[in-house]
Amino acid sequence: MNLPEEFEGARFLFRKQPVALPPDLRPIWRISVLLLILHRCCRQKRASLNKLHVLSWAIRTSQSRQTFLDVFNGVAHPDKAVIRFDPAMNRALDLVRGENLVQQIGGDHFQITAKGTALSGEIESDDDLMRVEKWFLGELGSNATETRIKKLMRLVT
Amino acid sequence: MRLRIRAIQLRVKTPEGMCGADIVFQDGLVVLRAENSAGKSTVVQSVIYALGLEGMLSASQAVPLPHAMTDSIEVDDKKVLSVEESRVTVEIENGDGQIATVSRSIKGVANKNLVNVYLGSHLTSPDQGLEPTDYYVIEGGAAVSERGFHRWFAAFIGWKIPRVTRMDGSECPLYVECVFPLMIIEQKRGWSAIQARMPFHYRIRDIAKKSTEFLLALDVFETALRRQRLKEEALAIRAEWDQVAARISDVAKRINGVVQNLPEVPRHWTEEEAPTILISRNGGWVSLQDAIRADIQALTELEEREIPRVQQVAVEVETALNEAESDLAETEFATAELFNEIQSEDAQLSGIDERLISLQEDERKNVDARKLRRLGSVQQLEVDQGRCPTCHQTIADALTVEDDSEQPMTIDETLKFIRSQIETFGTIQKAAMRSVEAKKRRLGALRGHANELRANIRALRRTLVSEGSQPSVEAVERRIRLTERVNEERLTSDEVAEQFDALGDIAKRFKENQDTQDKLPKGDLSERDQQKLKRLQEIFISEVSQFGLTSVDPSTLRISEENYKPEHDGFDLEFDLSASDMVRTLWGYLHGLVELARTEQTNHLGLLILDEPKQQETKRPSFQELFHRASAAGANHQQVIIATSEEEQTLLPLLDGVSHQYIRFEGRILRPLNAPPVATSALSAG
Repeated sequence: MNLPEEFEGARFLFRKQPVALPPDLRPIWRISVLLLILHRCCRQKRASLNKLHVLSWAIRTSQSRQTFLDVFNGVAHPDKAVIRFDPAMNRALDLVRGENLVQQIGGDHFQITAKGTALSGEIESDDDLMRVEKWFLGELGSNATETRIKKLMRLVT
Repeated sequence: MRLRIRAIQLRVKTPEGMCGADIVFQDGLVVLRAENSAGKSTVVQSVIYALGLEGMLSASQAVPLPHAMTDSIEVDDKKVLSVEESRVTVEIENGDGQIATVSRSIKGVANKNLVNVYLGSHLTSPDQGLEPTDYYVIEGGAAVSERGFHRWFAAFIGWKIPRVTRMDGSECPLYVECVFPLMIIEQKRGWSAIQARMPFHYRIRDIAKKSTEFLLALDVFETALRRQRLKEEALAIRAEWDQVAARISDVAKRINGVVQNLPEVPRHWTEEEAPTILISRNGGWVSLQDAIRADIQALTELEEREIPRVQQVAVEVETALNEAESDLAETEFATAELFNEIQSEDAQLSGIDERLISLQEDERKNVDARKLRRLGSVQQLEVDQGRCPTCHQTIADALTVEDDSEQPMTIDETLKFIRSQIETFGTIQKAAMRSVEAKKRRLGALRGHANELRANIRALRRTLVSEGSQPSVEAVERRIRLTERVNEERLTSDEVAEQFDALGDIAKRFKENQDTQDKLPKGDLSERDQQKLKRLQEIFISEVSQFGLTSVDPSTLRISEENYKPEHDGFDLEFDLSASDMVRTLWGYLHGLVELARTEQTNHLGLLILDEPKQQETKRPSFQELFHRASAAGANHQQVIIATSEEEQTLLPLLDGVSHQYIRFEGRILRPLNAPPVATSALSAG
């Protein structure tokens, strides 16, 4: 390669720069999403691993939210993936258990703890915070039962 | 500025006669003792209700008084009587020594939203033949309209009610209900935090901060309000500018022109930077002025010549027809090309739009994550400090598979990164939009040109087949078309010039607005404000030390310049405290405001009403110190009313040596009026 004259004899140094990280992959973000899901959409504030995976995938982007709501309300989107399992979610679950925000009960179910309730209460008290996520979970409300999630998984798989 | 409660009268009409209570208050410390559920809170709530302040408790317009005043009353012999009518009357005094009596119906035929105001001591010296004036509360406008009770009340206590901004950007008065939570603390929910209950239902922006600013009479209040107003005005001016700019663009569209160099932000322009209208001509762009000049010249040339006869021009017409036909073919081809180009650029543009939307979502999430991080640190999450909650080793701030070589950006870096991308893509979007817009204009011009050519071809053909002695149809039509075009161009040019003038006017107003904004003080707090807060801090520290605060070293406490609340290490103090110290903090802060009002100019009314101040949470000496501290109120023409159900045998020793008025109730506060006196009041000079 021919270099411009002013670079002749110059030494190049490459330095590693920190990489940009999508906000979904921040621990605190995913932890908060998890807590909100448990807090808003789950009976007895407990949910199965499957449900947590499905909802945390659905809540990610405006498209995934819309698609999920559509499918949930019976509008078919055969060309779109509604259910994905995100490995980051498993790590987030490890962290929330470590922080004692959520406890594991009966194998594959998770329940919010008192500490977790305190944090989700704080999140709930600021209307501006996680506005879109709250809206989405509000749309689902208590309709997103385990049974319906299971049905949904049969429907699309 | 002062408000003192002189007397309260409660009246309940039952089928078996009147029940009620009469209490007379002195200046200084007043201790009101009654058994739990005897109706002690009724007294405090009555003051709130009589002054039309129930909005400070909740958004609902429910009467904030217990059953005994609204529904059924249990008299001492366990008999329950229904309440037919009830009313509360409070006699108050302001800083000028003026006395007024306000009376409001609770149940009965009288309108509950009317407050009768007697300008005199109607309770303590009745029979003066005072006539009441009616004012109304609650129904919209109580704060501002002529007959609004709170307008009268604010004038009586000497408050100049400022205007504040709502969530939606509109303005409203700072309702008195917003300020009283710093002076009247009710038992049920008033003790969980400073300003635990605020009337958020008014949708006032920063309501807690704004009301504290007003209470402390800080200059920052006025400055912030002015800045807010100027900012909103600036937005309105910019919107106006955008509107005119859009109109210019519409006008230009009529002749397939685009506006060039129009500044996005209102400002004046010099001769060289003046915006122009460009129109597409023969594949290139020329300024509207040049186009008009050229067209006028062409028209003049045409007009100077006589219109030729067909036989004179037959050959030229034939050539012109051929030229026009091939020109039309070329134009049609160019039109199709340009159309495709626009289509593909439109597709690119929507790609940019999508990218921007997802960047904006990322930005929002990162802003949220930053906020969540703060909540997390309050909850003392380990991941928030970059540590694994289980093994306490350092972990990356990412949920991706652990890989030490890839260090993720911090949230702040990410935000910066995303915002710079938003800026870049925003610029790209704007440039792309402008280019598409110009191409659409060019497309319009090409189509116009094609139409002209078709008309021309028709005219040429008709000329060829008409009689030799006739004038050339083509020459006549060309002249007409050119005249029309010149007219339209001139019209557009005039209209654009007019709109440019309007822009000049807008630019002038915008500059004035910006200059005024620049002149506002830079820092938020004035020197006087800072001194006031420093003084409040001294008083606060001295109070909580005296009350025995131990969770943190009192001397390390600060009054925040952000929200004017006590803080420790940059966090609201409330987070760090034990329950008992929380109570001490509340006492120290609320009473600190009372003491501050003695030496500094504030809007505090020198009145503090504490309903059951949670002394059980603290040790007895703390409560005693509160009495000591509050007893100085009398000498300063202030009033501190403390209602408590503390047992008399523990209460009285605490009041030893403290100058106070002691009001005790045996049994229920409300009782049949033919029974012996309800309250016994004792004055002690300490």
